[in-house]
Amino acid sequence: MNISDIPWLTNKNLHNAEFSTIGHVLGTGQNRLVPITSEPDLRRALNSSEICGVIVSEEISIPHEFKKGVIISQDPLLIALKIKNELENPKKLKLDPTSIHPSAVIHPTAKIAGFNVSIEKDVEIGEHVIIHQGCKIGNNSTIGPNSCVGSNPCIGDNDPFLDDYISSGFVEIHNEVSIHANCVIERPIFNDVTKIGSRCHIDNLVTIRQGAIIDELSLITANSEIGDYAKIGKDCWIGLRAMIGRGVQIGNSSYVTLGSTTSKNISEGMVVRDNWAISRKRFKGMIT
Amino acid sequence: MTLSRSVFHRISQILNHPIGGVFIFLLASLYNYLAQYSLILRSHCEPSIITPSDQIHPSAILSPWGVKISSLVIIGEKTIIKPRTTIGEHISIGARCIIGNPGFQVIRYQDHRLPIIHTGKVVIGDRVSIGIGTCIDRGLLGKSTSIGSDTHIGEKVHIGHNIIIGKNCHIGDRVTIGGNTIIGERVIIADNAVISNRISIASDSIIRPRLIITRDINQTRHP
Repeated sequence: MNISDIPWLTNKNLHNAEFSTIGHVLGTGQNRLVPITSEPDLRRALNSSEICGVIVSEEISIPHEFKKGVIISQDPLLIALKIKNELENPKKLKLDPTSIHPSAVIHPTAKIAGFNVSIEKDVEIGEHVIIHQGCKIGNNSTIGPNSCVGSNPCIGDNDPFLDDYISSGFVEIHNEVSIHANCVIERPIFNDVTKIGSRCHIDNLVTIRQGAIIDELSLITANSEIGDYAKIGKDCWIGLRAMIGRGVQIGNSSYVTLGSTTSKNISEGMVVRDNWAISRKRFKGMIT
Repeated sequence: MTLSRSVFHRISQILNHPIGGVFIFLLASLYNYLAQYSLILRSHCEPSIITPSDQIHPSAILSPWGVKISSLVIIGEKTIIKPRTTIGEHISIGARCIIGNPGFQVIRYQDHRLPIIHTGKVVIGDRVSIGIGTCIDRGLLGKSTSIGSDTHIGEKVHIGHNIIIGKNCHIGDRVTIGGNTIIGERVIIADNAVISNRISIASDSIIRPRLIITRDINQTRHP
């Protein structure tokens, strides 16, 4: 589809481009059009071979060398969602009925969406858990009380118009994952995946934002927040009240100590010391 | 049974050893197996007790076994009280609180992860107020997580296992306290502070907002 083929976008584009999907600047997908709200994201889109066009707000200046498609709009995200709705007609979306394995133990107060949910063998779902559509929960996983899996992401300034647009991403919780109480796992608004690898343990009050990928065997402790499209490697440990920034990649076997805020990529095996320089050796091995 | 920091450090070193690690892992698995049946036997012997003066929201879920609630307790919507919890008088518990859930204790050995079963209790003193979304984990290895009387706990606070909080404390919103920590009396912990595990904070201390405490505070201090 070409940008110029969108009838209600006349006089708003600078450069025409052909795109096949719409997505997030940090997401995946070839030939995609992405909404941009900041200069770093624009630079990221400029350097990405998968992004063929951007929807930018009027405050952001487009560099002369930007040869990709451009749409200028006051609200890039709203335009992106409108285009997404046209590309993926909600009325024609495939709705598979929810499948729940007979051995799953689900508390009577839990609420599970009626379609596009898959709950596999020996899953335990606690009190007042909400599972939205587009979620898959693997074998032997546990979802603690009052947790919410697959909620719409927290985007923009809580624009009420955005409530009309349903997230089209997925949440995949692999086998033997343990999620404690009051956790929130967001579902991507575009066609991406929020993934929690097998044998991960997630403590109370953790928020996992849209598109985050957590590899297997990782431990995430209480009150932490994993930002949009962050990637946590295998066997990582995220300490108490740690904040992993948007798009940050944490390498395998890395430790982010308590209270840290991570805004840059962490390579494999590192220990992030964003606070006081104390010996972190005591954190290795057992978690208390 | 209390494990000091040095003992814990030693166990962590043994876990990295191939034979020692297997031994510790098997010991933990055996403990889990025995603890599972101990929990079932002990919690099912004591039916829960609530008094007529309590105001419990219809959506709140109290375990039918092992919960003791004294008089004039207010429990908000979708709050969950698990077994082996004792709640004193004149207490207000906000919505979506989870009290008595197992804590976060995971034995890591190579590619194996073994969460340890928590067999302890939660004891909440009199005249305590607990904000919305707060989680209080029950004790580990038979110990109790205890909250002293006249303490105020804010919203979305995480209180780990085996924590002892003294009387007249004030804990702000979104505070995170790691397990096995001892907090004295009349301590003020401001919003968004993080207290590491296995440390002690002296009475009358004041901890400012967003601070991260990783060492003992042995004397009254205002960091």
